Amino acid sequence: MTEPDFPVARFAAGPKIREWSRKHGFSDWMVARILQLTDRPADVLEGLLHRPPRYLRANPLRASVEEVLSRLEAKNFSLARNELDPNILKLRQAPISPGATIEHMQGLTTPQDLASASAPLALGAQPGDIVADLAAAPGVKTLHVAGDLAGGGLRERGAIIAVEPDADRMRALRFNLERCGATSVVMRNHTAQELPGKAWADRVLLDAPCTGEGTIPKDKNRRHGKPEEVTAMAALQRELVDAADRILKPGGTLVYATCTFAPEENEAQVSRLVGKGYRVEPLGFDRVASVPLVPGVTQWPGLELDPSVARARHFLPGVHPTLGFFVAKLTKRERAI
Amino acid sequence: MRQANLEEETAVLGFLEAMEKGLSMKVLSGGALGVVERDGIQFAVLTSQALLSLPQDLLAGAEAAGLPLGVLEGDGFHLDLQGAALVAVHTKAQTCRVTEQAAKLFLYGRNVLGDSVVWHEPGLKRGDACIVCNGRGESLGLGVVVGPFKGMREAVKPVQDLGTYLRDQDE
Repeated sequence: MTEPDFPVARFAAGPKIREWSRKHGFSDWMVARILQLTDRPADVLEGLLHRPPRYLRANPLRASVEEVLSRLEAKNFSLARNELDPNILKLRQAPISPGATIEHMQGLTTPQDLASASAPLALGAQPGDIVADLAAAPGVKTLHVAGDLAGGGLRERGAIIAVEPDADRMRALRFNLERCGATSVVMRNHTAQELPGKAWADRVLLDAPCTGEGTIPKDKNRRHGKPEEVTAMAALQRELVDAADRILKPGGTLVYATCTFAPEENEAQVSRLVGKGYRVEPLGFDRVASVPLVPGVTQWPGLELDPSVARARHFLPGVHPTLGFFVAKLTKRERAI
Repeated sequence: MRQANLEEETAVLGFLEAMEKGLSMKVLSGGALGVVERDGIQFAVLTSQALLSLPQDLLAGAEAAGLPLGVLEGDGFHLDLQGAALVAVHTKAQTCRVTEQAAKLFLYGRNVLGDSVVWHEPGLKRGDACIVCNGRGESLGLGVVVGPFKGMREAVKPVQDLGTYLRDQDE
């Protein structure tokens, strides 16, 4: 793994941040950094402590969202639709775990955070596309893309190459895609860097492995992150970005996403792609639950960031009713004539 | 991952046509048949010609691909969970339907009692494989008929059920 060519920025943690971090068991360096991303620090701190609403997604390969709503409401589930993705349903009331319903076992539904749906939404896969999903397990986003390949029907057109290096996570990927009836996915158990060939994918989804700061509200273990973890992840992400760049066709679309806040893992990777000739595109949506998403940062100590990375977006817990998430949509330049 | 050869295709289509004439066309529905080998087992999978047309180096060595319909063994073919789910959409052949309570129990790997069967294909007899469905006719899994479709004795012994997706992931 190569070292990144930037340091991990640190900010002074004042007494209030140190006190809050001690009280709630956070690394204060991490909290000080997260608060640089928002003008609503109190909301974000509150959001880090509480799990956001849970969501599930109706699987269009199996049933319409109306049918899923009807079946689950008959079992006393209370669900709400949203403006970002019509197939995502917010769980307002669940008499049993949604994963224990026959609808889940039949693949009519799958759990998916609303923020994470933004990555396949931004990707915008079309029937007939060849798509690469470079960190695919557990397959929720892969399934979302498969649904898009079906273009509103029940059978996909096109193909997805889904890569997952971890054998246990590969098993979860395989089970989820089988349960949900996907026919268009090839699952490969190796790293993205080992994918063969050049310029064969119309679209690449890279929801990169990351330090996972955005999942703190549901995973307390993430509260004790260390700066060197950001450094290590940023190095891995560079390799994955290079793999994505190699397999993407000129003119193709790359969506880069993580579930962390760290600009070294987010905006820095996007900016590096801009340096390779990519263009950062608007996502095609700009708010969730009527609250505007937060633009990518363009100023961060130790990083030289292209101004266009402001078109990327952050979901912030406490500001948005989701876990933390970062998403950027990029277009690879056509070959020079 | 590769395209099914003639013998493999014949085994799958022949199995489906033996269940009901015209069933193979409905199940495949314009898709293509592929074969994935994993742990020494050959899985017949439903997929698309677009996927099978991918460069060979993307298909070779795949851990999985397409939707597994069942297992190829010798000259024969055996239906799997997802194959059964697709079949039950298109035919009542070799199916039985069970009460809601029996459906829940079946999904936890329990057997089906005779009185819990609300409908069964008239031709089903002891020793036959059958697709166990809920009241809507949706497949819950596969079983073997072991007793009469009435009374409090075991009628269908479970072989494979959709609950496996939860139980196996929890391991």
